[in-house]
Amino acid sequence: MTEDLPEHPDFLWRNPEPKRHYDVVIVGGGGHGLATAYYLARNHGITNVAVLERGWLAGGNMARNTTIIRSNYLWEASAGIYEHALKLWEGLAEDLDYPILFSQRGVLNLAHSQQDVREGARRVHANRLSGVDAHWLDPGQVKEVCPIVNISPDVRYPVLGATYQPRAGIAKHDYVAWGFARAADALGVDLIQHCEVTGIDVHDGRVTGLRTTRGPIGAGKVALSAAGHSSVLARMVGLDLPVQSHPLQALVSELLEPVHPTVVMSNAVHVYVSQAHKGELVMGAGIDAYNSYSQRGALRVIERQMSAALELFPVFARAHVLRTWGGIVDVTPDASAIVGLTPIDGLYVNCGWGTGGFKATPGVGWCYAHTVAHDEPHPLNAPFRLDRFSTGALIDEHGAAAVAH
Amino acid sequence: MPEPSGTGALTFRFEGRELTATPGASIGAALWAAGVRHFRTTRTLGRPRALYCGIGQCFDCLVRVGGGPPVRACVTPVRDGDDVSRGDTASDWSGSACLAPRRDPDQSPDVRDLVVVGAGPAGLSAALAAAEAGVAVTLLDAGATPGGQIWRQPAGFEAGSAAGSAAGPAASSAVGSTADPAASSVAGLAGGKAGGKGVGALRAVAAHPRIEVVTGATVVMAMPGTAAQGVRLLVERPGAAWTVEARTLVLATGAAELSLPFPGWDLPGVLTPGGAQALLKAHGVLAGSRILVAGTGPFLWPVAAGLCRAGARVVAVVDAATPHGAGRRLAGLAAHPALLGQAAGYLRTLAAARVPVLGGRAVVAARGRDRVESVTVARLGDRGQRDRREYPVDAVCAGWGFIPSVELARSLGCAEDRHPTRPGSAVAVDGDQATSVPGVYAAGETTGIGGATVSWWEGAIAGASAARALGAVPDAGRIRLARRRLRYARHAARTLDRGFPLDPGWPGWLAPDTVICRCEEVTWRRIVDAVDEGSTDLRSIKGLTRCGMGWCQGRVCGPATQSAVAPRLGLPPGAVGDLATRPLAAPIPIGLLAGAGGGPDGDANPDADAGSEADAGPEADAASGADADPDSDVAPDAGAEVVAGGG
Ligand SMILES: Cc1cc2nc3c(=O)[nH]c(=O)nc-3n(C[C@H](O)[C@H](O)[C@H](O)COP(=O)(O)OP(=O)(O)OC[C@H]3O[C@@H](n4cnc5c(N)ncnc54)[C@H](O)[C@@H]3O)c2cc1C
Ligand SMILES: Cc1cc2nc3c(=O)[nH]c(=O)nc-3n(C[C@H](O)[C@H](O)[C@H](O)COP(=O)(O)OP(=O)(O)OC[C@H]3O[C@@H](n4cnc5c(N)ncnc54)[C@H](O)[C@@H]3O)c2cc1C
Ligand code: FES
Repeated sequence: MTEDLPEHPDFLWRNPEPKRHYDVVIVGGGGHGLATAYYLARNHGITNVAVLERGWLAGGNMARNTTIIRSNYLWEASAGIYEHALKLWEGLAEDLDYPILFSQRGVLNLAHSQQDVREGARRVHANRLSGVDAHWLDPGQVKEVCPIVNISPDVRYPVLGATYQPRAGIAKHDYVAWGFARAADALGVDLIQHCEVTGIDVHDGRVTGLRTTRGPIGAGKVALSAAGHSSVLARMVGLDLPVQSHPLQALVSELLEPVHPTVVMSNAVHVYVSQAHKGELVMGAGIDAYNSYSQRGALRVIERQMSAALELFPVFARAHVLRTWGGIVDVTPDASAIVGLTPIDGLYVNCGWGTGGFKATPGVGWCYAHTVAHDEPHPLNAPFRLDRFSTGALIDEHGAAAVAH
Repeated sequence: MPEPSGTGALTFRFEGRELTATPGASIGAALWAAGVRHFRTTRTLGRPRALYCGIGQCFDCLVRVGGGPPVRACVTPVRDGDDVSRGDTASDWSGSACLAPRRDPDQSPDVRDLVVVGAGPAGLSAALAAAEAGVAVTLLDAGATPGGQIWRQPAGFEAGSAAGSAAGPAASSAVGSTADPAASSVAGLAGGKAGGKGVGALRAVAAHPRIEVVTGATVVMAMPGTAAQGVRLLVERPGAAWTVEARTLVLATGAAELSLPFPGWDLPGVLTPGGAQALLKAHGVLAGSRILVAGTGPFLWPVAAGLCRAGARVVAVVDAATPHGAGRRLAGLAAHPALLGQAAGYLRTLAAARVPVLGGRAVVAARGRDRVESVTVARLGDRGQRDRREYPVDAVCAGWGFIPSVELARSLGCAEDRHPTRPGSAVAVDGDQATSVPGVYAAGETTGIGGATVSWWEGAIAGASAARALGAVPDAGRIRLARRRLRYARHAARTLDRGFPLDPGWPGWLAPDTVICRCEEVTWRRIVDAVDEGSTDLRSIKGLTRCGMGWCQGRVCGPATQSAVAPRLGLPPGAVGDLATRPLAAPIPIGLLAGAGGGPDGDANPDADAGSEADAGPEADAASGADADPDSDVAPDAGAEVVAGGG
C-alpha cells in the first residue's frame, strides 16, 4: 500500500481523426476493447485497427469496477481463461511498460453456511486440479489473514471458513486502461473517442463497415466489445444475445490508515471489500434484481449490503462514504461470458462478463484478438461460444460465484 | 470538565486549550472568534487549514470531537465541555464496536406525498404553494435553521416564537404565497440583514398545519423508489439516518459559490464571501479586522457592506469585471429601479467607510506563513498583470458568483443545462418547473442563478405543479401572478449574469505549484501535465491526478478545474465533463448507511419525533419550529454512542 503513484506518466495517446477504412474496427473502448487492440497489434501484427468509443476511453465499467482479480472459478473452462489472464497480469506492468499497481494481496471468499462450506471445499479441489492456487481456511485462519474480520459466531452471517487464493488481488483500473491504450497507440492503433456506433453494415452475410456519429467507417472485420450495451449493438444486425443488463453498485470511503490487508468477498451477502492503494475502502454490492440501462441502482440494495458488510467489518462503521456509483453489467443465463464468432462473417462478439470481467481483461484481449485474427476461437475461449445456448454446453458459474467479481 | 454556565458562555477545549463560546455557535465560529486559524494539517503538504466555505461544502475545517470521526467545524454546534482536536484526515478506526442494524431496507417505506429539499426562498415558497392547495408537505433542510442562504438566521433563531426571532418590523406582516417577501431583496443584490423580510415566509411556513419542517437534515442520496414514479431519499442527521419515499419531489437545493484558485488561496484566512457572511449572519463573528473582498459579481457588495457595518476595515472591493464593460452590460437594469436602489445603498455604505471599489482587477496571490498576511492585487488585461499592489490583510473573501447545486438531481438522472461560459450546470426544467424525471420538480438557484425573487416565484410554480400532479387543484390566479413576476425578475437576473462574466483568461494568474484541488492538494502543474499527456476530459484528469477525489468530491475544485482546463483543450467548459459525476450530497458514515443509529423516530433524536407525524397539528408544528434551535435539535452525542455502541 506504500507504492507510489507515478507522478508523470508519459504521453498517453494521440487523438486521431477516423480514417475511412480499417482492417479491424473494435467497438467499445473499455478494458476489453483496448486489450484486444493491443494484442492484435502485438501478437498478430495487425495494426490498421481502430477502437471506437462513444464516450471517453475507459469511461464505462472499466472506470466503475472494484478491480478484484482472481482465477479460482469452478469449471475448467473458466479457470482456463481466468488463470491465463492472471498469468498475464503478473507480467503486465513490464509488458506494457506502465505501472498498473497490480497488488497480489490475496482474496478470501467467505462461507457463511454449511452449503457455502461444501461449495467452497469443492471449489478448492476443482481449482487445484486446474492448476490454480487455492486453500481452505477455517475461521481462525481467516482471522490471521485478515485480522479485522469479525468471526464471532453470533451474527447473522457467521464466518464458517473461506477459500483463499494468495495470488489474487487488485490493480488500478485507470492505469490498466491507459497502459493498454498507450501501448496500442504506440503500435499504430487509432483510438477514437466520442464516436458512437449507430449502425452496422452487412452485405451478403458479411460485415463491411459501421455507421457512427463521426461518419461511416469501412471495416474488414468488426469486433464488438461494448459490455452492458452489447445487446443494443447486436440488435442492429438482428442478433438476439442472451444477455440481460442490470445495475451494479459500488462505493468508496474516505482515506483510512492501512487496516485491511487483503480482499474479502462474501457471495452470501453480496459484498466485497478491499482497501485501495491510497487508503480508501472500496466496497461493492450485488446486482440490482431488475433490468436497466441507467447507471443507477436502488438505494435499498446498498443499505442492505452495507448492513451485512458491517457485521463482518464492524470497524468501518464510522468511516464516511464519499461516493457511490453504478455500472451496467451484462449477465448471461449461465453467468459466463460469450466470446467468439457470430452468424455474420467478419463480426465477432465479446460480452456477458457481467460482474467479473475486469480480471479477465488481458486474457480476453489475448484470446479475442486471436479469434479475430484467425477467424477462429483460441482454445481458451472456444467453450465460450455463442451457440452454447442452443447446444446446451453451458458453463454454469452461478452456484459457486453468485457474485462473480 | 467545566460546569455549564447556564445563561452565558459555554466552555470547550481545543487541542488542550480552554476556550469559550456563545451557545448556538458552531465549533468553527467559536474557534475563529478565539483566533484559531489551524483546524487541521493537510496530509500531503502538511499545511494548516481552517474555515474556507463556512457552509459545509468544502471539508477544509474538519475537526474531531472527543476523538470521534472528523466533522465539519462550520456546521457542528459546539457543546459545553466538548473536547475538540485537529481533524487531520486519514482515520484509524480500530475500536468501534459491532453494530446491530435497525432500519430494514425492505420494510415498506415511509411514503410522503411531497418532499421539498431545501428551505431557502424556493423551497419555502414551494412548500407554501403546495400546502395551500391541500397537500401535506415535508420540508427538509440541512441547515440548523430554515431560510437558505439569503434568509440565514442567527443561531438560536426560532420562526415560531417572537422572542427568538431577530426579526425587524417586516416580520410581523403575515406572508402567504401571493406576497413576495423577497420584494425588496431582489435578484442577487439582496441585503445581508439577518431576519428581514424572509422572516414572514419562515413564520408562514412554521405556522402552516400541513407543512412539516425538519432542519439539520441533509438529504444524502436520492434514488428511484419502490412506489411507481416515487423517489427514495436517504436523510441524515449527526447520529441518525432514515429513508423517506416521496411521491413527488421538489428540489430547491440552491447554489454554491464558485471558487477560483490563486497562489496562496489555501492559506487560513482566505475564505469565500459566503463563508464570511455566514460567520457574521449566523454567529456575529467577523472574518478579520482588515479584509479584502474580491472576485466578481454583485454579491461582493452586500458582503463588503455588511462587514463594514459590523466594524471590520474593508481595505478594498476588487471586481474582475471592468467598470466600463459592466456599466454597458448592465444598462438593462434601468427597468429595475428597486435593484438599482439597493445597489446604490451598498455603494453608499462602502463610500462612507472609504472603501475603494476597484474594477478590472483581481487578487493574483496571497502570502503568509501559516495564515494570510498580505495579498497582491493586479490589473488584468491582454498585456498580462499590471499595477500590482500589495495590501496587508488578515482575511480575504474571494468568490466568483454562484453555481447551481445539482447533486441530487444528477443522481436521479435529471437532464441538465450547461451555462455557455461558466463552469457547472443547472437542472433543466420546463415552464412548470418539471425536470426530465417524472414527479421531480426543481426551483430556485438549482435551476440557474437568478437571485431570491426568481427562486421564490419558481418555488411557487413548482409547488403548484407538484400539487397538481398529486391531484390537488392549485389556485390558477396565483400561478398566473407567479409567472408574471417571474418574467420580470428573470430579466434582471439575465442582465446581471451578463454584467459579470467570467474572464476565461483567469488561469493566467495560476503558478505551477498553486494547489487546485484543496482536498487532495493537486497542483496546477500536475493538471497541466495530465492535459499534455493527452487527457481530454475531467474524468481522466481525475484518474491521473486525484483532483476531485477528496472529501468534497470535487465540489470546490471541479468547476474551477473545468473552467481552467477547457480553454487549453479548445472546448467550452461543459464539453470536458464533470469531476463530481455521481456525488452523494454529503458524506455519510457507513454505519448510518447500513441502517444503524437512530431514525427520525429513533431515540437517538427525540426532537424529530414530533416532526415526523405526517398530519401533525399546530402543536407539532411548534415543535418542528423548535427544530430551528440548534441546542435542542442535533444530538450528535447520543448519535455517536448509538453508532459506536450498537444501539
Ligand atoms: C460496480 C462494478 C463493480 C465491478 N467489479 C468488478 C471486479 O471487482 N472484478 C472484475 O473482474 N470485474 C468487475 N466488474 C465487471 C467489469 O467492470 C466488466 O466486466 C468489464 O469492465 C467489462 O469490460 P470492458 O472494460 O470492456 O467494459 P466497459 O468499460 O464498459 O467498455 C465498454 C465500452 O463500450 C462503449 N460503447 C457502448 N456502446 C457503444 C457504441 N454504440 N459505440 C461506441 N462505443 C460504445 C461504452 O461507452 C464503454 O466504454 C464490475 C462492474 C461494476 C459495474
Ligand atoms: C453562500 C451564499 C450566500 C448568499 N448570500 C446571499 C445574500 O446575502 N443575498 C442574496 O441576495 N443572495 C445571496 N445568495 C444567493 C442566494 O443563493 C439566492 O439569493 C437565494 O437564497 C436562492 O434561494 P434558493 O431557495 O434557490 O436557494 P438557497 O437559499 O441556497 O437554499 C437552498 C437550501 O437547500 C438546502 N440544501 C441544499 N442541499 C441540501 C440537501 N442535500 N439536503 C438538505 N438540504 C439541502 C440548503 O441548506 C439551503 O438552505 C447567497 C448564495 C450563497 C451560496
Ligand atoms: S477540492 Fe475537494 S476534492 Fe478537490
